Amino acid sequence: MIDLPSAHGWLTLLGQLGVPALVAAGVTFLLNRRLERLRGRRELNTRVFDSARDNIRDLARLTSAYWSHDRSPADPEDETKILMIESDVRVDVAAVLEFALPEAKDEIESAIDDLIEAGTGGDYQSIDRKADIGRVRRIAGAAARLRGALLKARRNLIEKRVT
Amino acid sequence: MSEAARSVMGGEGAILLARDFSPYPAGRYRKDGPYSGEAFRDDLLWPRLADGHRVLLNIDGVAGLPSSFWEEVFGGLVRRHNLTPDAVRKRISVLTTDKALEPFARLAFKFAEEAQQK
Repeated sequence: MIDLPSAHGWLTLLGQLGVPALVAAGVTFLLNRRLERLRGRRELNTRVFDSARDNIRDLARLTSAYWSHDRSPADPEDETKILMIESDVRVDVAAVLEFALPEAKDEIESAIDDLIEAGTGGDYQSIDRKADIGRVRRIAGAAARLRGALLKARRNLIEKRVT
Repeated sequence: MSEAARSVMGGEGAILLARDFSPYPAGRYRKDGPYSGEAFRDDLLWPRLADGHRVLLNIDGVAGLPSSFWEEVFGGLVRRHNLTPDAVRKRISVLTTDKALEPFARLAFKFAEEAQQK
């Protein structure tokens, strides 16, 4: 027959096993919560980077098409679309700059400035606008540079610190 | 934002582009529309600069600033009104609390520099 511990024995057992178990549960809970937050932040960062890169591609596509022909009746509609997507790109890039490492900042800022200038500069919105193939090339270059800078910033962020 | 900062951003002595001109600036020249860069520069900005005032230009609230419009404002001050890029930088402050509009604060003075070089 097994001897069951007395009431005092149960209390001693609880003191020896229960407290460490409670501490372990508490630590596990806190660690999980921390990991969940880090995972959430990383997912958010990834979404912001991906959104920025997608919007940059769309902006480059729209502005390149716009500058590939002379003024047309479709221009006002295209100009509205361009300004809307440009606004999205600016918001995305501002969000990226919030959490990108400081060394990534100059390259990203320089590239977005070039993209904005190439996309909506010159005779943009002019009533006698002409096609500008040189501008189309600059748009492609600036967009590629900005997408590359974002990719590099993302990679550096992952490699240099846990997001 | 503090009262003092609010006063600087949109108070007396400041131009609030969206309020005082248009939230939808568009086009380079007057022929391109009523809210062109040429119209803003010559009707609103230059008269204050010509009077010797320093201008605080707040761009908060605009839907966007097409570079054709923005270049005509700042590049045009150099081309049409013979200001040096340095004078443009000293006499105009471009302000925004919106991080998404910060590229335009940088581009303003870049356009003045480039107009000088051309």
